Amino acid sequence: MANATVYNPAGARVAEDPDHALVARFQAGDDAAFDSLVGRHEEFVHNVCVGILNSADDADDALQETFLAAYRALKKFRGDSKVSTWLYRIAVRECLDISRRRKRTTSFEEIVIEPSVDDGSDDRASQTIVRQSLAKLPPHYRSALVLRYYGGLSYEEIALAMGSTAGRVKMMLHRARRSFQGVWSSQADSVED
Amino acid sequence: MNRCSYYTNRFSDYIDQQLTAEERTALTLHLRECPACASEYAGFERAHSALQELATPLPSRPVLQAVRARIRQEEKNRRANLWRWAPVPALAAAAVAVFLVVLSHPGAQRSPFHSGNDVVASAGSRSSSQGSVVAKDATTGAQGADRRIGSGHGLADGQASLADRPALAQMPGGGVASASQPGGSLAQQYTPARQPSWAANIRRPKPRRAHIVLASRVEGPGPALAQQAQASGKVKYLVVAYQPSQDYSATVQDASSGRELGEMAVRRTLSADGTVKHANITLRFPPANSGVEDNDTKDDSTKIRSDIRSSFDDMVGRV
Repeated sequence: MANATVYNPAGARVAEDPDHALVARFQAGDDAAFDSLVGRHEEFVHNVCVGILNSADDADDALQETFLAAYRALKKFRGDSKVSTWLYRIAVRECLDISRRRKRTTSFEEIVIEPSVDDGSDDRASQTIVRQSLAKLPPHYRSALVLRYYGGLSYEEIALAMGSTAGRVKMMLHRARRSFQGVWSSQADSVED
Repeated sequence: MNRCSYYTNRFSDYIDQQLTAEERTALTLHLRECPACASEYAGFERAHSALQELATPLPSRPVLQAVRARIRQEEKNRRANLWRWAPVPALAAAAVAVFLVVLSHPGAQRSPFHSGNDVVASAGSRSSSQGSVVAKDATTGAQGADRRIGSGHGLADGQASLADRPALAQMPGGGVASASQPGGSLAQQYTPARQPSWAANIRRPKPRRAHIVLASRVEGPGPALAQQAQASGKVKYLVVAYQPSQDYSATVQDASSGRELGEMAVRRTLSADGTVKHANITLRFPPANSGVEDNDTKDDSTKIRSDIRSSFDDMVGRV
């Protein structure tokens, strides 16, 4: 394809990632560098976990497990991807593990959102419907959508995070969006009725 | 594939600007000519917009403190395990908790196993006999003094002290049900022994990395007489944990011979009330003496995995 994006994990991306300096410090013995990494990424990783699991408690568990796994593996991180992508990969794995272990079928659970200054009750209601709809999708569809919309990841980064290829991610996103559209439209319609 | 399918399959690429200029123009023209596809695209785009609204981050609870606490605990457990492979003098004070893994028995009482940082055994409600803690040498499996727990035996309810021997408490898994607090839970608190000075220098043989990870929770009866449980034939494995806490390592022993079969690492995620929400269990089997796994060892490890998996899976309980 003429405008296909060529992803070179070992090339320019490595130089662009400021987190690599933190990783280098950690690998040189500066344990506190890990704390900085957590501070930089916990919010987005948390949102990925919330998106995939649709449960605040499970998302907190997954968040903890993600950073714990990251701490254990950080010494061996080779820098062939962005740190955030690497973290997302761990997060997706932990979320899917928790998702599999959950003995209940995927069901709606309301996420409590902090009240904003203005009364955004309509926004909250529509976000709730979106989360409900996401929760009804298969875990891998949810993961792909969450990484794309929460994480802003490219196809290649999603592929790295999910252990797949960019081509498959493209197909998966298309199907995931289709599935989401089907579920979301019927949920949104039933609310309006 | 008909023409409309060709274009509808490219909606995702269109939205993500993954099409060439020619492909984009072609699709745009098609949407102008085909009301059905235009309507379908409109729905697709609305769903896309809805998903984009979710980009607003949600507040999270600070995770660093919890992660650091887990890291510290893992480090403690790792140091505690360094001396495990060394011979343990008969009178060495070792802080251990011993669990019995009992293959599930159809009539076994299942009861929750409440755990926190201390080793806790659950109380079954079927029997009213007192729970008992049997001291057992962690290495040789030799039985030591029988220390009763529960009221009327010189120890506070739910307290078992380890003066000179590791104590053995039944881990839920079926078989004999007994409790001194029917329907409740017993906390068995183990005072960690001072680690021998030579322990730090012991190198543990590296186990073979044949492992399985179980997401499991174990349930079963409360603490019971280990001997009684063993005699009943329902106890197959002993799981001996050292300084049990949220995450800990344990050895898996053959209950009758005391032969060490493997080791188990347990990672637990606790709820706010201290109950175990999830447990990850990793089983590892040490290399056979020859360095090559023989058929017996392979059979052992496969059977153990299968036994433990069938005991752990689908059980509501705790390890």
